[in-house]
Amino acid sequence: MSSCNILDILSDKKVLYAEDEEGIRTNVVDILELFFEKVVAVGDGKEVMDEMMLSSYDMLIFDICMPHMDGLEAIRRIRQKDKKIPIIILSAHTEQDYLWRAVELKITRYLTKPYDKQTFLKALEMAALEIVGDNLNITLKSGCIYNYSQKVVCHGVENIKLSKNESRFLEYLIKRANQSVTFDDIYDYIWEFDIPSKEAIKSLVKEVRKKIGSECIKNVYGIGYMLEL
Amino acid sequence: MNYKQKRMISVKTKTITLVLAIYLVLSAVFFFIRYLDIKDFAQASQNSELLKVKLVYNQTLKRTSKFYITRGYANINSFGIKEAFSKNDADSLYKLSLPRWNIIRKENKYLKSFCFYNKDGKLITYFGKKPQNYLLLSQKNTKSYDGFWQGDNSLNYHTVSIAKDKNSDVIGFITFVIDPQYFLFEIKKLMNIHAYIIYKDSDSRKNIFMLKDDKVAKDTIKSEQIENLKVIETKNGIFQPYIINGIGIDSQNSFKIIFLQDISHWKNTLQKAILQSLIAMIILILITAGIISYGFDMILKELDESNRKLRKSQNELEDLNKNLQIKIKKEIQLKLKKEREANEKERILAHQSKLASMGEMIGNIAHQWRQPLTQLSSILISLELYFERGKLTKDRFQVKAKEANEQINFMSRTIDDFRNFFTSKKEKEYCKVSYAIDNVEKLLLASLKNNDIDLMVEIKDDFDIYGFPNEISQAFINILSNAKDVILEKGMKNGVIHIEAFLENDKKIVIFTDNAGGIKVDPIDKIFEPYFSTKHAKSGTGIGLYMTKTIIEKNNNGKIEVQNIGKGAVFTVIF
Repeated sequence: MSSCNILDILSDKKVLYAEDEEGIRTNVVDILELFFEKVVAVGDGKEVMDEMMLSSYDMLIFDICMPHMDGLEAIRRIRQKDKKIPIIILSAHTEQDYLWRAVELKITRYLTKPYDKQTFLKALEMAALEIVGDNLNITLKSGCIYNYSQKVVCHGVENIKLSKNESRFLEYLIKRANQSVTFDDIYDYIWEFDIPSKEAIKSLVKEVRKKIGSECIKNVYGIGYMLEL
Repeated sequence: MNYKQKRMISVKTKTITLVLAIYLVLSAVFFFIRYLDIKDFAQASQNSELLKVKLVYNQTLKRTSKFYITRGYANINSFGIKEAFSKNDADSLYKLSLPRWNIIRKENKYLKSFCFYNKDGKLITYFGKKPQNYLLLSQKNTKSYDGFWQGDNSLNYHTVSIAKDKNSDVIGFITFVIDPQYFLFEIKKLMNIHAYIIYKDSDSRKNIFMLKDDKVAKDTIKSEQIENLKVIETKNGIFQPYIINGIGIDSQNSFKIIFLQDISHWKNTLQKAILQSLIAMIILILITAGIISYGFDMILKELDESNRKLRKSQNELEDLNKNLQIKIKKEIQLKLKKEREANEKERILAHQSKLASMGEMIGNIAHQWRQPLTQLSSILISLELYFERGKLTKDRFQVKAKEANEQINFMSRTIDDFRNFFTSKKEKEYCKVSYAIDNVEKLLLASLKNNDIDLMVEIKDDFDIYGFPNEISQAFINILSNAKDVILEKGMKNGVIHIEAFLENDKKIVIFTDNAGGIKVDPIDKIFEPYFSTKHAKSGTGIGLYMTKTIIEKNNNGKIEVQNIGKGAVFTVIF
């Protein structure tokens, strides 16, 4: 099932979900947890902003109508820093005003409550594809092919499975291909609050290099790493 | 009206008649008194006149006799007269006396003759008309005398002067003969009274009028019995006769002098007086009648005028009444029509309002349901996904099923709430203000929350309201919806609506305050007019607040006011 495959992209991803209605929130969190590596749920716009300061996320799913700060306002602020992160809106509002504002904010999908399973999953797929730039497979410098959904590297006939951290790290580098990525960025993205030792990063890089070919990831001295494509 | 006029006229006539009658009586009395006065005066004057006439007659007689007797003596004593008498010399007497005759004759035209008689009484000579040949009483008298006597069918007055010689022997007589008319003339001259002499013929004893050609006398006297002072009325006039018995020279020669005083002027005076009185009376009567008539006419006119005015105003009043009735009828019809129209309009409005509020309610239901529906769909999605992955444990399924049931129950309750709300109660009842506000809250909370509008309810005094609770809730909902719409329209993110219920001076007050910047309508009460809306066509029908006012003020004995205070509009509902 291709859809399942696509949604597998999300299996190593972190999502921030904002919904003020607890009854809905818990159920949606239950659903999201099936697809994401990590689901963080908050109850209002302010918490959204706090959370965004603390961690980096791969996807955002917001309700519009929330106390303190509505979803659209939160998204507007987020978009000032991050233009790419896919955002899905789950809203009871169908008013045009909201839609106009949403369009300006480059929303991936605008879902109106209540939504059905197909619509919901389709939205997730769209967002997942956006994360990977619409290609499930990417050919690395070493000639091997990385598959986002299965999180495997294909060397000819041999498929090597990457762990969650490995795939997260690789996809993070692929997204910033030909750019140097600092150690801090990597810490924040992979480990969040726990401060791992430099060794942890090194061993992670080592494992990934082993699986995709060492020439793919270069050391940038004193700063971090860079993936060349 | 005619009757009244007639009555007035009869009063007028009566009054005039009465006044005139009094006038007539008074006039008659005065007239009578005057008449008596005049008559008395006339009587008195007539009596005095008679005395006067007698006096004049006597004096004239005396004077005349003295005059002519003296003349006679003067003639006797003249030169040669006595001698001639003695000689019976007629020529001498004639010649000697002729100058005297010429003088005397000129003095008195009534002097008939101047005669000389001898001592035997035989006529010697004469001047003038021829007298009797013999002098009457010549022998008896030695003294001069005078008197009337008849002769030659006429009555004459004689004066006789006796001529005597030295021995006092009678030698002759000198006589003057005077026409008695002389006396009449004298009296006429002195008193302006006509006099007539009647004497009786010595033979026939018939009355002879001395002045035969005097028509007046003839006509007047006509030999009838003439009594002293008995008024004679003829066609020539009215005469008062005075009769004097003339003394003749002897009894045979007695006669009567009749004076006829024309008393027509008395009569005339009397008549004039009567006439004057009559004329004065008539003039007075006429004037009085005129004045009274005029006065009455004036009064009547005035009465008529006021009557006319009264009638006119009565008519006008009647007209006015009629017009008024017609007007009132028309007005009532118009009013009824308007009322019907208004009722129809009201009905339509109410219907529209009902539709609108139903639309709104459906919107509210949608809000209310969106949440549980979303939750349900989420539950279903998660169950399905968990099942697909074989992760659906019994516990999870049970928990989720329970959760779903709760949501379904919640939705069912919501529907009940709305349905209750729309089943309007037929009778007024007491309900707590908190009940009405709770209703509102229940129905609107989801909608407000979805629009991020805070609703703060503060019930300081939970008083009772007597009315239709659902209607009151409806009115409150309209106020809240209005506030909500304005907040949304302005894109406000911190909309707050505050409801406050409290008692103040026994007044039950509910206040709705928002912070949407107030109502920019002037006059502000215009927002209560039907079809008035500041909102976009999609959200406002323009009857919400109108229905609110109608519900509160007409159906529930309340009052609603609106004003801008601070940051927003404040609706005050007073029960």
